[in-house]
Amino acid sequence: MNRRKEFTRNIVLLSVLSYLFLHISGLYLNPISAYEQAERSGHYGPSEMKHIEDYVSGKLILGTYDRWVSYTTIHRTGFFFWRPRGVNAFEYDRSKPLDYSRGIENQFYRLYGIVNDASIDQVEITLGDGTVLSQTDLYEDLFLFTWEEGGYPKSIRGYDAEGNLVYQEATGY
Amino acid sequence: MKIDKGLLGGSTVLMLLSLLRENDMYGYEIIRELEQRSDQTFQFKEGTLYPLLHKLENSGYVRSYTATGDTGKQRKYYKITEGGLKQLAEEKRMWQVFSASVNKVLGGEVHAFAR
Amino acid sequence: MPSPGKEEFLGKVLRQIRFPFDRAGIRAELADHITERIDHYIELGYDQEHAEQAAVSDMGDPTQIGIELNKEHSPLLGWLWKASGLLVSLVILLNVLYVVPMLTMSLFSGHDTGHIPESSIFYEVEVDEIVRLDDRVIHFSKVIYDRAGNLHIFYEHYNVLLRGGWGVFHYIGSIRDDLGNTYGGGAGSGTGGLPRKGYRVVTGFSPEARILFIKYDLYNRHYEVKVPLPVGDVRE
Repeated sequence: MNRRKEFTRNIVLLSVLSYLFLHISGLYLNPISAYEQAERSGHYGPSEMKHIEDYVSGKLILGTYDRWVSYTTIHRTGFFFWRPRGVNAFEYDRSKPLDYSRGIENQFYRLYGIVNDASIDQVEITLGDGTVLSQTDLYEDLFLFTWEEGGYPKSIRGYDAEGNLVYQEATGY
Repeated sequence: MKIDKGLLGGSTVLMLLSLLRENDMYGYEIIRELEQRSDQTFQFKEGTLYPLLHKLENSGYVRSYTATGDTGKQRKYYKITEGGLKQLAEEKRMWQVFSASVNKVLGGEVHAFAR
Repeated sequence: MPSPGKEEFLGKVLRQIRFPFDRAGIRAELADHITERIDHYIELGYDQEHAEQAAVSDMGDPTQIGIELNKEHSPLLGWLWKASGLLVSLVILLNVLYVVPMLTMSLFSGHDTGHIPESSIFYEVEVDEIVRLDDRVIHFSKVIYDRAGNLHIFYEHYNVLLRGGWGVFHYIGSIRDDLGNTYGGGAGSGTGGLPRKGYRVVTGFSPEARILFIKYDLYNRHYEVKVPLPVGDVRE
């Protein structure tokens, strides 16, 4: 075979093998595809993505699907590949002004949820050790807190744009 | 008698492919065969064979491989390909047309202005 | 003793060759030719030095030959070809590293995938039912009830698109019987490979149950598998 033919053959081989590799390995070149597969292989979704953020292992995506709220983690692997990790979801109570659930991944504690009462502009939680965490720019109607120390929050509160307390509850954690 | 290189250029590919159709050969062998068969008529600068052989390989008419000859020496041999055989047939046809035309001009037939 | 005439000739040719990886091959081919030509002149009675001069002279103008050869050894195609070869090796390596283990890998989480000695089997039922969740095809193959009251459920699953990364399928649904009993998750395990095998064992399953229900109802996905069970002492 001459060089030109070999080169062409290599390009074809490269395309086929690359596709095969990505397809069968469950690795993805773009994080959104990994996210979609994470949901599908977990038999969940498809969600409406409302927030995406980077963290040390990769990306985290917050979304809603029907009566559930979820956060899904995608890990970066091998420089440019993305691997689906976990889908965490809970069915939320629409009658409450806000609803939430918790998650944990290695050193990260997380609290995520949804605001049902549109007047709530700010969500605050108080951790076991007294630390107060606050989020004012909500991700559409979703919120997410991530922290490393202090244990799970004891209470959660929602405030309106003027700073008036709209809702609070003890989490029971 | 030495042949003018201009003429040689046109039919070298034809002769090369024809030789390789009979046998796989390496460069020096090809030169030797050309000299012997043409009774020393065709003698040209031997190094110029190689760009031609490499060009034929790039065109896909021949393919090279390393093999050990009778003496135990490893050399680069050339082998004609399917495409090469087709090209050979085409070159042969063109050569026959060409030489027939030359013959005609030289007086093989009577023409209008030969008066 | 090195032959300057020959070396000088080869040097001049190679100076014209832009693609470095082809130089060795070209050098060897031309060197072999010159050597054989030298031998020819020696046979004719020339001495080493004159044989070499004659042989090199017969070769022609090295720079011209080099220029013509260089036209047939395009560096662009050369580098592209080399890069493509490397990438193919890389992708083959990736496939071997990732894909092969995936197709043959086993994982264990406690239980062996169900070797139950004949003597402890109370009854065995061929289920042979296929259900589907998204792109996952699940084939419930059989259930075995043993004399200790354990119900063993065997199934296999694979991704219909043969897509990887779909992991173990752990939660197969709620397990109930026709008497109204609901059974806890039970221990499970699975293997990799294709198709993946899954296994679940539920303890304290009622010997009077006539139907086993495996019902999946999560995130708007559902299936239900009903397995009629033999009642009475079915084994001698």
